[in-house]
Amino acid sequence: MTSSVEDETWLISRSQDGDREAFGELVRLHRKGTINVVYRMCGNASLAEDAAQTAFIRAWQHIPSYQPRSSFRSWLYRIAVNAALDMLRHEKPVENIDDLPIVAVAEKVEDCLEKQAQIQRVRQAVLSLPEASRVALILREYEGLSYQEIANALDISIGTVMSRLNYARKRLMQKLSPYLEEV
Amino acid sequence: MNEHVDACIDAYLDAELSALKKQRVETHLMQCSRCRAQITQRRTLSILLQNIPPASGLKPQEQFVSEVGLQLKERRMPMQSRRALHLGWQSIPVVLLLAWVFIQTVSILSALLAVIPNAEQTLYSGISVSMPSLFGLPELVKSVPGGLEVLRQLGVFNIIDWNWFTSLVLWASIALMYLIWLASWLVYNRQPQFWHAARLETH
Repeated sequence: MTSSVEDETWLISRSQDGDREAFGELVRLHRKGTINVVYRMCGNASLAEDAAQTAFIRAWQHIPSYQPRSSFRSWLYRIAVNAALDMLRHEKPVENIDDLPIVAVAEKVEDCLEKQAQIQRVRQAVLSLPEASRVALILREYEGLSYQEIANALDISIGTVMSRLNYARKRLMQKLSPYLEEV
Repeated sequence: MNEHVDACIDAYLDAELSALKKQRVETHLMQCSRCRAQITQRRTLSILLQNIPPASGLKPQEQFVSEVGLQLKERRMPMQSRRALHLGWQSIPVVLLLAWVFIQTVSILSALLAVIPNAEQTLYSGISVSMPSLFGLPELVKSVPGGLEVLRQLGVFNIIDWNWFTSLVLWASIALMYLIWLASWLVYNRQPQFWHAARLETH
């Protein structure tokens, strides 16, 4: 853990000095997480990749001013979230059929369809949340960021993080109440 | 703790509570079925959210990395120059502090000398006879006939004429420079950056 943090610190320092190779390593390290944050925001894998690329390009331009007061990950996600919001304002997200997961053949067709329906319903419920609470929920639930990291990433107070998370979860519980009771 | 713990449920499940608060919540949960049900529902919601698969059908990693690499632009200023600039910027308050200490010392010295009769004369003769290293005067200057007189004419000993008004003006200048530096530093640190999350709409 410590060694990976040290490695990342070294890569950031090299990138700040203009080392493209080091920045490439940072892209490799954070590619998956960044794409997934954007993907959960917009529900479209292709759009998520484009936004993630834009985010990395912006991060390269601004990495000299990055100060390790907040984690690099939360700094990067902040850029990614804004890149995603910029894209979403210009394009209407379209649900990509390829995004639907391939479920094991061994499962019964009926179970499979039911599971797909449930996933779609949950995904729609998340996408219907207001942007501000959606992004807080995504950073917490999928990326496991602490409240402090979310606060840094969104430039808000911890109290606001808590209220946004509370709001998002309450809304989801209302929308998904049948599934919650089932389970 | 008989009150329900609705307000703490999220923080409890997200492991963001202090040990003491966590213990209080757990004690309450043992007695309250309503709050236990809330916790179960939140955990179920979390499971439902985790069931949504991550993005699939993505480009291969190396393709993604090389596409990003192709779009990276040259930096305007090398990092070394930025660091030197940063160091210079950070050293401004230190320089101001040293200047303040210098002025303070000179003021005190000046005040002391003002109350001593014939202080200037004493200092002058002291330098020329028994205090060769005072003010770091080079031996060479002192060895030259009339060298000290030249220094006197140049105003090296004007320290004795330092009055409260001079000190006040210098203090005010240092304070002003420090305030300008501080204001610039605050503005620099609070500068809204292009990715500022304030653009997010609040719910």
